[in-house]
Amino acid sequence: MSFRHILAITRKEFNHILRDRSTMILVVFTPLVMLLLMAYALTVELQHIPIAILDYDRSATSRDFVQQIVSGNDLDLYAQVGSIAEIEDLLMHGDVKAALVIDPNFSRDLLAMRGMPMQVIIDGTEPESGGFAVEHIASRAEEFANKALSTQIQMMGFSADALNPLDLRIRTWYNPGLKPRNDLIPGLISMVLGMPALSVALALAHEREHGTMEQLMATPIGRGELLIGKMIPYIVAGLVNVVILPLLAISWFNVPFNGSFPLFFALSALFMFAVLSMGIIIGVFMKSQAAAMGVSFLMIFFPGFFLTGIFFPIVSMPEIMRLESLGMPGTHYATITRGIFLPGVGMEILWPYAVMLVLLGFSFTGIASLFFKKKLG
Amino acid sequence: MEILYIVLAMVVVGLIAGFLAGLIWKDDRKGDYPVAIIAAVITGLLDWFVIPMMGFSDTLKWAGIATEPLLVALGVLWLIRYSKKNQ
Repeated sequence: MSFRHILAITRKEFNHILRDRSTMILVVFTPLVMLLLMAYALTVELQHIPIAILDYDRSATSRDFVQQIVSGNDLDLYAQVGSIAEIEDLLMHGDVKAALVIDPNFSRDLLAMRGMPMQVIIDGTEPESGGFAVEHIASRAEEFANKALSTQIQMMGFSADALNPLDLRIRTWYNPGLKPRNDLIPGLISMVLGMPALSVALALAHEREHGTMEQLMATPIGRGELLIGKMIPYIVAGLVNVVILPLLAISWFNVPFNGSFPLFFALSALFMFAVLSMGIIIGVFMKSQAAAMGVSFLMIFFPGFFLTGIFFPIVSMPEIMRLESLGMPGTHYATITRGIFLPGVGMEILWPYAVMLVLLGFSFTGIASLFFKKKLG
Repeated sequence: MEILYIVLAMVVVGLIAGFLAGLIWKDDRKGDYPVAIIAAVITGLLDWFVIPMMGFSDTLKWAGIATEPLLVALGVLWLIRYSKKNQ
């Protein structure tokens, strides 16, 4: 393997990236734009869910209760209705996502400290909004009932603590506000950094499609040299994003970065190597750019979405799917980015993932170089 | 000590894979043995130490180490033959 040969191919590929604006955009700017778009689109926090209330009791207590239910930003009172038929109409038109029905004996049962039947009707076609409404109505109702009961218990001369014998104290480590973006954005970085893999697959297919691969085959450059030389510029371009994306995450989305940046950079370089090797394999087998594009999406981006644990926890997957996820560089890198961003762990925890990235990178490059023919026909 | 046993066991698996390769492809390539040993040792260490750290069950660890090193070593030897043929 000659360093001069690799350098020659690397220089040629650098020129290609710098002079071809579309490749430049794909390699450098697309990950940035994708991160911005996905971070906003995928971390929508549910708020202002419209609900309807049917209050059969119509007492001062039930009015207080309704006030308590809609006191936050989570639920909005869309309408107070007079019948179930009206609720049905609002749900059918999609005006409300849930409805709360208050029993005629609500205040009497509350005073008598009896069970208070209540009904929540939700729109099952949007389970997320419906479930959110149920959860928040239940928690507010519990708060209201506890407050009312503790007042009564105190009036009877007992301590209000009798209502809450369990003193549960929750401490959330690493992501105290349980902010979805803090968890999702480091994971998304692993996904959008896969974009240069698409470019390298397209670059190889482009050479084949335009016949320039024949000229390269006629040179004394070896198979491995050609593939490594092609990969290096995309790794460098990807590493530019390894600096920009965390900066964007920290400064724009306020994601905490508690780990070591040099470690993050080094492990990102390993990831770039592994994921670009996947791109190289695709480029070696695909004869046209269209095919390379399609297969890249099938092999890199779709599994990146479903198998790498960014959106669905890997531990909940069947073991066969978990094994499949081991073959994806994104799985290991997502663990690395989350580990470095939030708890700020080091190599003592992350080494198995780094080992996997190295092995995947060498295996993919080895396979690509073995299957890459320097012959025509 | 555990690592030594694994490496020794995988060296044996690599030797078996190198011998099997000669029988399967009916040739006698001396280079098969070191390649098969390296492939088996790396796969064995991966199955024994790295995979369990990622939360996989012990059953899978044992199943992996019983089958994967031999299969991976044979796979690598096949890849090399395939690549030589197409060069």
